[in-house]
Amino acid sequence: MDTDVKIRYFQNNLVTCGLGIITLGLWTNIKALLHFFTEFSQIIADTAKETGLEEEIVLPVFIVVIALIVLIITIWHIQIGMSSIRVGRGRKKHHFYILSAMLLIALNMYDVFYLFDVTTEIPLDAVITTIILDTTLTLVLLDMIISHFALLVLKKR
Amino acid sequence: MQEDFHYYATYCAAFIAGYTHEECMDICYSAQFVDLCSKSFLSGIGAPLSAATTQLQLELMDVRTDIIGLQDITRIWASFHFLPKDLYAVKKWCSKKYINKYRLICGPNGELLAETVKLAKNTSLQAVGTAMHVLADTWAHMYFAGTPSLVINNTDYYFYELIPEGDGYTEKHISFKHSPKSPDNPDKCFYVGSLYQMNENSIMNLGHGRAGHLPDYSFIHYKYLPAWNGYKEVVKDNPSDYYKAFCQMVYAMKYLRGDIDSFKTDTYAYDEVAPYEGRIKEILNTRQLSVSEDFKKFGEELSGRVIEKFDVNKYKEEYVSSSGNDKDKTFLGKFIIAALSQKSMVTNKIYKSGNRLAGVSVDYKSKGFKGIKDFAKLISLRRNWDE
Repeated sequence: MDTDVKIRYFQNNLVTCGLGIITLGLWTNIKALLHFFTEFSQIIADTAKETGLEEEIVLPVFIVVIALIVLIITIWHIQIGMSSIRVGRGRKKHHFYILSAMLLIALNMYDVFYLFDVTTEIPLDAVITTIILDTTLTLVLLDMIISHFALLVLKKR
Repeated sequence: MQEDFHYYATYCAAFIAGYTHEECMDICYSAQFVDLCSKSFLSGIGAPLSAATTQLQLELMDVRTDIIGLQDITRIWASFHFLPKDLYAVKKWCSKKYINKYRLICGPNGELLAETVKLAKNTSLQAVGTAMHVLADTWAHMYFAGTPSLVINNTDYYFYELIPEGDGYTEKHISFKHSPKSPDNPDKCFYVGSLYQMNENSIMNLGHGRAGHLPDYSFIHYKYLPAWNGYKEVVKDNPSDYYKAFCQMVYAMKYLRGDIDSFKTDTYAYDEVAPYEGRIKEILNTRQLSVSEDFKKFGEELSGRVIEKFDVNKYKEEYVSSSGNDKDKTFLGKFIIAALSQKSMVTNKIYKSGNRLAGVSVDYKSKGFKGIKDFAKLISLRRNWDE
């Protein structure tokens, strides 16, 4: 393949991966929310007991914390996705988003391996769904990282 | 292409080829009429709907995109506006479904173009005009296919106008907006294009919709990445292509008049057009959305006669007021026969190549008449010619 053709291919790949990462951020949010709300009452009760505060006080604080976590996850995915799109369109040259992506891969992998812990009682359908979607996100992130470095090599030529 | 080329430039080419003013008017009217002969128009005059040579925007909004609808769309657009260049093109690692669409990509100087021009020989001026429309569009609409297809007709953000500067060009990024009411603005590189639709068979992915009207502007020189070309860019030089289209039209019409024995593709009447080359290129390079006035002025200087403004209703009354077989002798009647012949020929060629995107084609001679009854007219005409 011609070098220009390869460059365009990897640039297009970065844009596509970026869009995929932003979209899959929705899944990460759903996963976090499901995790919190399935053990909602237990977490509230345990926190109230440990802190000595009333459950009526712990509840709004807990909701604010969840909202912050969802916001952080969303911003994180958007940051990685938008950076990938900008690099793909030739508008950005920074590489910080790659480190960010590697951290996200590590967290995803931890999540997947956690599912194989036999002491946790997670329904089978949740396990299968999580494996499929987390693996998809990991592969998209890996594809993005590979495209980024391939593009760097090709541009240096 | 637009009215400036299909009507006025075709008039000029016909006159240079040797036709009289009256003949030129019939030819250029027919060439432009291909862009307006829709089912709505035909229904209004009680003409066979199968003779439709275009689909208006309002018709396209309601059109079906199931297999029947897609075949109807492809029959019209591939026959008159996006004549396929190579129905037997080969591309590796592609499914049959993909290759069928790939083979409908339009381009100049294909085998079908030669068939189109030869089909118009010894018929009518309306057939000549129809053939000239098809010929001209093979240059303007090359690299797009006359079937709704995202994987063939899509474009992306890599779209640049090449503006001449000194010995080279400067690149200016073109952005498309889906805003049907806003006019194109060449000075700001602001152009209207069709909306991105992920559905493969969406009507938004028909022809050059994803590139807006750019292929129809004679002045523009641009580069982009067609979806079918594997990330290789394509450079489109409209002024040069339009000039070749003009010269090829002159050559084709000289053949149709009988001045030349045979029609060959990739042959142009450069010598005949040479005295007017500077003038034509100046018009084509004029940076405006339509150069109708310039071509009109040029045509009137050539012939010394006034070129009437195009009126789609000019021959309506003649057709409506005649009856029976007399309808075929009217202007619109002859145009309808030419349109049916062209559509029948192209559909047959696509079908014989193993491609079902334009539907099924029946060999009347061996199988007898089957199918859409509008086309039965062609058999009775052929019998008359044979007799």
